Amino acid sequence: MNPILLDIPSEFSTLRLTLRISRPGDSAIAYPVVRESLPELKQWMPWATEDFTLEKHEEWCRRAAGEFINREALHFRIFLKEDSAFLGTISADTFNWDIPRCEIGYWLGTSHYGRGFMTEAASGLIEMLKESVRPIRIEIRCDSLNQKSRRVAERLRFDLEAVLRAHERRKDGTLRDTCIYALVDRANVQQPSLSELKSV
Amino acid sequence: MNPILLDIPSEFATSRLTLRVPRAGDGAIHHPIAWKSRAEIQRWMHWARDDYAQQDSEEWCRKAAANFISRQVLHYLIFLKSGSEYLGTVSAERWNWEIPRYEIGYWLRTSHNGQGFMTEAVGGLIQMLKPILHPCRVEIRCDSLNQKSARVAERLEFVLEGVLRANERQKDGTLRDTCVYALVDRSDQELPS
Repeated sequence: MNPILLDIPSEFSTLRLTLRISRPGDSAIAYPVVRESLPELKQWMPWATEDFTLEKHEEWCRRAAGEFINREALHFRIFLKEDSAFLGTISADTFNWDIPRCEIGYWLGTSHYGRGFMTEAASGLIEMLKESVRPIRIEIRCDSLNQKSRRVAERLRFDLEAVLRAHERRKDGTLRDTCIYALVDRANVQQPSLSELKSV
Repeated sequence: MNPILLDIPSEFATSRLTLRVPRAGDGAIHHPIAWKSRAEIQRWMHWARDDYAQQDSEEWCRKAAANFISRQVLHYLIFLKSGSEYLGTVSAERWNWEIPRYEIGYWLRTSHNGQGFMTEAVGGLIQMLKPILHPCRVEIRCDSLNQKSARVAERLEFVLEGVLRANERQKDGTLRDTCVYALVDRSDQELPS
């Protein structure tokens, strides 16, 4: 089936959070949080630079809305239920529909660190994907020095499959290693191979 | 510098082999060998299916010639120096010019397995590209069951960095794991911060 025909919820919630897809106008809510979190984001995200403008961010919000419909990437905005504060963004992207597999990427506003929000958001996204996309493999990739991102993967019981050395280059010129974490569930979609059928 | 301006030889040699970039007309050379080797190729790759025609080979050769010029993929056809038999293909692809890094892919005709030809071709390609592109990282990815391909990486002292589970699906529906091998050289590439 063409993934554009899959029904994927544009909104879902977890215990403390509401997540909904990115849409035009979101930069007004999200941009101030990007700005105040820039010192942290700059370390890990190629897009987070001093000259990242409100307009560039709004462009991203609109592209993201289109990518959701096309099933190229599923970008969700994360809000706290309690006071509707915007916390950050989480995305399922880099889909390979033949497997199916995808990657999860995220960033959290600096002032919301340390309360397990991203672990909760990622866990909720994974549960939602399990029902709609049924991925066999979900990856989290991050800079090996990004301890906070790694801890999200580890808390969700992703396995560290590989550390790719000298895989990325930062703007300061340094080479960085990339961790590949994965959660694999062959349970409900694995088709039996010919040899397995013969042995039955 | 835009990689399109880099001077990369379209032909080079190793002790037993000559390698050159594909060009229009090479489909006639490429197709019969790929066709004879299709049982082996089909086990690991998504081309050379049972309806693989000479026209498909010719299309691939022409695209490969264009990709070489635009530096998207550097494909080379491998020939034996003695006798000029066509042996297969080796390619430097998936470039990230900021690192720089790339991935090497290859296939060898079945009748010429077991003589170290692919190790020699891949080794030659790495040596040829090194002084031109100064890559920090070269990857070889292969199906974890593809022992012959893994041995090429291991003989060239690539390090197995990890095995990505359920990373690919074969035509028969089975899920396959992918080995990621890499050769890393940070020596002259760590720019000052």
